[in-house]
Amino acid sequence: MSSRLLRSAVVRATQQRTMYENPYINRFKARSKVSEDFHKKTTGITGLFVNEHPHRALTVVYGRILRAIEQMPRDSAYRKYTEAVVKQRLALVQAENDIKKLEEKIGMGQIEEVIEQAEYELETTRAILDSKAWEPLVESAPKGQWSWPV
Amino acid sequence: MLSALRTAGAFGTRRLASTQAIASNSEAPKGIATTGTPFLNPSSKAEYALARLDDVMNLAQRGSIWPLTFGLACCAVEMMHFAAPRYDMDRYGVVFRASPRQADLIFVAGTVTNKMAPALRRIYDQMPEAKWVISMGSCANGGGYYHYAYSVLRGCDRVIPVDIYVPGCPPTAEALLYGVLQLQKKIKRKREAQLWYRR
Amino acid sequence: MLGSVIRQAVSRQIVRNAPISTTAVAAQTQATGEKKESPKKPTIWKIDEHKRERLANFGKYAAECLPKFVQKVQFAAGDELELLIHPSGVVPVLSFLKVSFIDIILTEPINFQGNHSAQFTNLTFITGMDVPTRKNRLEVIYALYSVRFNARVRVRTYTDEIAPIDSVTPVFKGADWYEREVYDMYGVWFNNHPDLRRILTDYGFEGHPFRKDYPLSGYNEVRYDPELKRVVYEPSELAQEFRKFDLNTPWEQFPAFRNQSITSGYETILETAAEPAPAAPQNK
Repeated sequence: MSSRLLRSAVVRATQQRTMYENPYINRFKARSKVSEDFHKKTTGITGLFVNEHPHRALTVVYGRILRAIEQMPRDSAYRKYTEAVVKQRLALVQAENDIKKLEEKIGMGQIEEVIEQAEYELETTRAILDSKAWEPLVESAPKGQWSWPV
Repeated sequence: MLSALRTAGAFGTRRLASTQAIASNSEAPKGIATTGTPFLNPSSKAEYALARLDDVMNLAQRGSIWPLTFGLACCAVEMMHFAAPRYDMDRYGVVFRASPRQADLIFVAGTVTNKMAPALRRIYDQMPEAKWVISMGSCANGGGYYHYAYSVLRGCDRVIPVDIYVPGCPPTAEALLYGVLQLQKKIKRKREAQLWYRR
Repeated sequence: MLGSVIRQAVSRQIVRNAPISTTAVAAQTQATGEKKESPKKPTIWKIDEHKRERLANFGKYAAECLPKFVQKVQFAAGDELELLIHPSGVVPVLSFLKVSFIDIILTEPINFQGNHSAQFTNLTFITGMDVPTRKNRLEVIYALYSVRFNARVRVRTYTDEIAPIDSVTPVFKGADWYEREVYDMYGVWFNNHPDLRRILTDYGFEGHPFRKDYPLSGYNEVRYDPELKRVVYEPSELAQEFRKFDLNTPWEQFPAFRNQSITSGYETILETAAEPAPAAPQNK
């Protein structure tokens, strides 16, 4: 009994947590290996892993953004612009099957970066949704707050 | 020097006069015999012998001062210059050690903050005996630029006893070198065995 | 304006040998005067007008997208964009800036390439500022940098000694220590911070030293006590007080020219005010 406890303690103590297993950051979790015939082995960016099926990932994330953005009022500026760009991107993704050509068309670097950006965008959309940022200004600054020199 | 020791040790009072004669030799610096010893006026045979013992001990100690790196701020960069080939502290037998257990000397190079003070004292306490401290730069000497700051120790001598103060902000590597030479001079006059005998 | 110049050139061609009249010269100088609306003069610092325009557009855009929080958009020092926001909107504003499908060049969408987002993905620093005369005396400043577009933006917000600000650690992991630093130095409390405690000052330190009412020399000093054999803390005793010379500031040699240079002062781009009868109480 005690030996088992000891062993588990030792295992726990010696388990080194690498950066890629950081539970804080989901996308840092080590992905499966890149298959042989894929056109690149690495993105060359730390913590950003090769995604062999970017179309699927992008469609999912863009779909989520669009669904989240539906809940905003139609006239909010953020919704207007984001919806336009996301829809355009989604159309690009659906039209172009070749990854390299898609990267060129989007023009935002590697497709993995685009995915990462889209994930951040989803977070932003949710943050804006939570805070209802399309509403008019909550409160003006007190008088003299932004004046300098005082 | 050892041969000088041997010849000196054999005869008692007759040599006493002769050491004084050597001392008045114009080639040697004032107060230093040509043999290199600063102990010129022994009062007895035993003291004479112990003075020679001191000489040997001091020779060994000043020939291999191993300092502990304690770089805290910009002075640390000058300290590194002192270690680098241009000033080459190794030629004086000064070699950086990263552990206080192996060090004879500590360069306090930089601003000592209140938060660092207990750590500095602990490091100093961990050094083996026969240890020296060189306080480098105005901040370590007396707070310097940060003398009136809320978070800075006003001189590292509030925490550890300092042997040599090197002024400057930061002092050049040459100044630090001169400080080390002064420390060697100080070590040369250390009369540990003679004091033990007197006690 | 361009048209008038062309017209002038054409007219000069027509009257070929006529000497340039004084009126024409005056018209030309007037034209150039129109071109340079700002009376401020450039110093050594060159301002990239194109980039400045893009940044201004971006500022307007951000204010349009986040009308609830952005109080003012302005340029500081000529070409540094600042968003002045309400303290409740720190997280949405910063996550908006971190990545958003905004055209940073709204005016000229170049075949939809390279202009999708600001991507201020690098949180350069967070710092504070203390102005005791203001109603909300503390200010928190976030500086962001866009690696992709080589652009910078500052977000400023305000608070007082008690009111907390939302931590931005969910958005920027790197904000952790910066916020600890601001908390340490200014005493701004950050909500939802994973580990909010002092970072720079001594263990057991009291007070927030960067506040204006904190005395320069502090309250305590340390020394080694040979009897207790440890470092002890004592109330500080200065042999000589810090001497404050009440001279004119050494930094401003020419106060008359303080506002002359192009990098001086602020230039407001956009300012929004809360409506007198807001709809907000209905939600609350």
